[in-house]
Amino acid sequence: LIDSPRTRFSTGRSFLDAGIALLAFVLVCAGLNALLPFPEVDVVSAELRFFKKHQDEFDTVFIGSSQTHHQISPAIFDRITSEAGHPTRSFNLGINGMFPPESGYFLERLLSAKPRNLKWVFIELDELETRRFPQAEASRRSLYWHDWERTSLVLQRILDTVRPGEGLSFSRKMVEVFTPRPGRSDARDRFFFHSGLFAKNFTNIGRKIDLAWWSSHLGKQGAPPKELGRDGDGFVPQSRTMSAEEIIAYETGLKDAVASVEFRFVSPATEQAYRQWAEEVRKIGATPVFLVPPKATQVKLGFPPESGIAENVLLFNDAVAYPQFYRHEMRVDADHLNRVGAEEFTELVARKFSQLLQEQQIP
Amino acid sequence: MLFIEFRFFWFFLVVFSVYWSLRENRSRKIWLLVCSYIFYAAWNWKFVFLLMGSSALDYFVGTMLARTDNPRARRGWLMLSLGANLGTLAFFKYFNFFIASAATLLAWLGLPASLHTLNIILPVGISFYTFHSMSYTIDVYRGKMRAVSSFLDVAAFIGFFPQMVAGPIVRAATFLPQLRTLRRFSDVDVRGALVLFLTGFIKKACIADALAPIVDRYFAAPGSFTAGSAWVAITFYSIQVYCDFSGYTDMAIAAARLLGYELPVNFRFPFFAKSMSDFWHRWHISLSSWLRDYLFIPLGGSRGPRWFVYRNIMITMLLGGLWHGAAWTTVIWGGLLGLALVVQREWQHWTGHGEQARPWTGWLGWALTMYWFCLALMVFRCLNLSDALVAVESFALFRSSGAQDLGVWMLWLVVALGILHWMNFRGTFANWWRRGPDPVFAAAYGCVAATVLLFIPQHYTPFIYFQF
Repeated sequence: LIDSPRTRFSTGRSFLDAGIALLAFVLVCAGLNALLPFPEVDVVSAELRFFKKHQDEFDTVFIGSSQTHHQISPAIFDRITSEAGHPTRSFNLGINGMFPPESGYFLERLLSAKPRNLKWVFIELDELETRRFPQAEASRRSLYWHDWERTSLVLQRILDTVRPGEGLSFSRKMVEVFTPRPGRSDARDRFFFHSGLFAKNFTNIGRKIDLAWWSSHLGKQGAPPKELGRDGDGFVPQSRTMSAEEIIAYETGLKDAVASVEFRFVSPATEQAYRQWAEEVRKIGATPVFLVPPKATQVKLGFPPESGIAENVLLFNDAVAYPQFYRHEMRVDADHLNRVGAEEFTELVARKFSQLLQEQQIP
Repeated sequence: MLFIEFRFFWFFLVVFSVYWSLRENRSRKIWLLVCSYIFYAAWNWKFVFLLMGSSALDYFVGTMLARTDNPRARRGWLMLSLGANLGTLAFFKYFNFFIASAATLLAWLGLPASLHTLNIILPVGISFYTFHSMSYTIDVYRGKMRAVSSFLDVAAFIGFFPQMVAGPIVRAATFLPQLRTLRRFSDVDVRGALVLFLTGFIKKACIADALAPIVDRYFAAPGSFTAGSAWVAITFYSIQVYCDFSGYTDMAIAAARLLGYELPVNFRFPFFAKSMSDFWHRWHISLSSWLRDYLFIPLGGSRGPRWFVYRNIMITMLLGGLWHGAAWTTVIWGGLLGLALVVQREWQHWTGHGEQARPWTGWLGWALTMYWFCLALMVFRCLNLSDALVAVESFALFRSSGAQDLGVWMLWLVVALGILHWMNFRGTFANWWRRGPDPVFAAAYGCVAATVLLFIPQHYTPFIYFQF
């Protein structure tokens, strides 16, 4: 290889050749990306597989983070809706750490199997998550959902944080992010981080393990994931008592949050994301419902009226309206309810939902 | 920043584009130097100053050597350069090793002493760039080359990013003349360089990194594995080290070549060596030739009585072992390989056979060479001497109390890789990729590169030689 005779390159043609190489590279990456099996991402893949196997048994699903996973009991939800005359058969697909846009990606994978009986899709509402989580950065979980659509949403959200409200153009925002200036390094860092994950995901780095997994599990029945809980419905309640120090910190934080309560619309990127997901849900004949669990933050998110999805939001992060969920006896930490709190919260969600159906406020 | 990381790709794209768009040689060298320091700073910016200091000192010593003919003064300047370079290396790399060894020795002699080690970070590539640097002052001292008047040239030579961190160890006399002339893009063998880079990438990312977890598993606790596993582990480790280091070298040579510079060949199919001396003409050639020219020959080389030559061989190999790492296992590794060279010479002396005569040129010579290389490598890889004893016993005597099995069946991988390597050795893959028009090559290259990425691990493993 080293001592072989040389081939002459003309500078002009080398640009064309580089373009051809790049095009071939991109096409093969895209082709492989489309052909490769869904990546094996611990609980995500296991829950998707389980749901797809039983998808026609359910008409209601809950999608979201640990605040859905630990706080929504399908058994209680179904009992209450049934008592209210709107019987449902629900399943909790909440997964710890699943924030938008990952939850949107998960939702799309779920809907791609076209579940026939699905009528209601509860999606946890939050701003698009752009932060870096050092403990999970190198994991496949942080990588697998970085397709073009999700990555562009995240990047747009990062750009949204640059001088918000000033109506800057896209190019101006890019210049702002990349101009060395105090306070910009975080946005720049996150921009590079998510772009890097997109590149890694698009180029299928290390995806041989998915091929190996797929071939070794071909035709085999996997056991239901333990994350589905004791009843196999996806609900796993938590039972921890906060320490005295944690209670003080929690109550102080809550007092501050209540004092600075605000209502605002989600960012444009988040709105766009939720609109797309709502559209996907409606395409299969189901209705999206957006849910904000009783978390410590008292920022009440909503969609602008022109978004077309503003009416389907159920907000519960209101310490004044729902003080029962904010007593420390009901919580395991600032963001999560314990079993008693979760059961009470599920009851309230079910009643509210039934009431809206009754009043035909949800189509 | 590793050659197999995405960010290196972007980094190199910028370096390459700007480099070739500059018209003046001086501007290009400044650009290369800046990029080299950025490349090094990506690991730890503080040590860039050490690199600059080393370059400045050797430039200064070179200049002073050129100004005087007084042998004593010249020797003094050389000693300053050697003292500073080896002193830096000794401090950063060997200080804790010497202190710990001294404490152990004193305790063994019944004189326990409380000697404190320091929390020292080993600057990456220090063993390589100090050797680059020293080759300049030694060659100027010996009159093999003239002192360079431009500090920029010396700094660019020592800091040249493709070879700075893990070689090949480039001689000043080889590289500095290349820096003096303006490189032309039309002279660059782009196709050859790209194929070489991809070859190195495949060796490192697809082979070495894939074998690493199996090897690591064995060497974490050699005593708990069967004797068969010892053979699997050491065979895999030999391939891992070779693919890791020669892969890095291939990428370094290719990156340099794309910028118009030639770096020396570092590996020539070492697994086909038929004797230990033949092996050292094929494995890490730039280091073995450096040690030969700057240590073995000054010690007296092959001239003089046999025992004197054997002493020179042993000193060279023991120090060569120590260069690889601050541990007794690496020193013993060097000693074992030195011993093999001594035995080979003694055998040749007794039988009257030269280097090319039987049995060293036949299968037996190959088998003995590989066996001894693996045995020495076993010691090299072990984390401590007690592990090394267990592993060597398992490998050499087929005796182990361990029950865990790595799976001997995995050796089929070795057979497959061996066939590929043999085909390459025979030149099967030598030039077929040169055929066909450039656009076809470009498209094929893009397709192969995209496919290769499927087979690399999700997480990067640092190059083994970075720790040296």
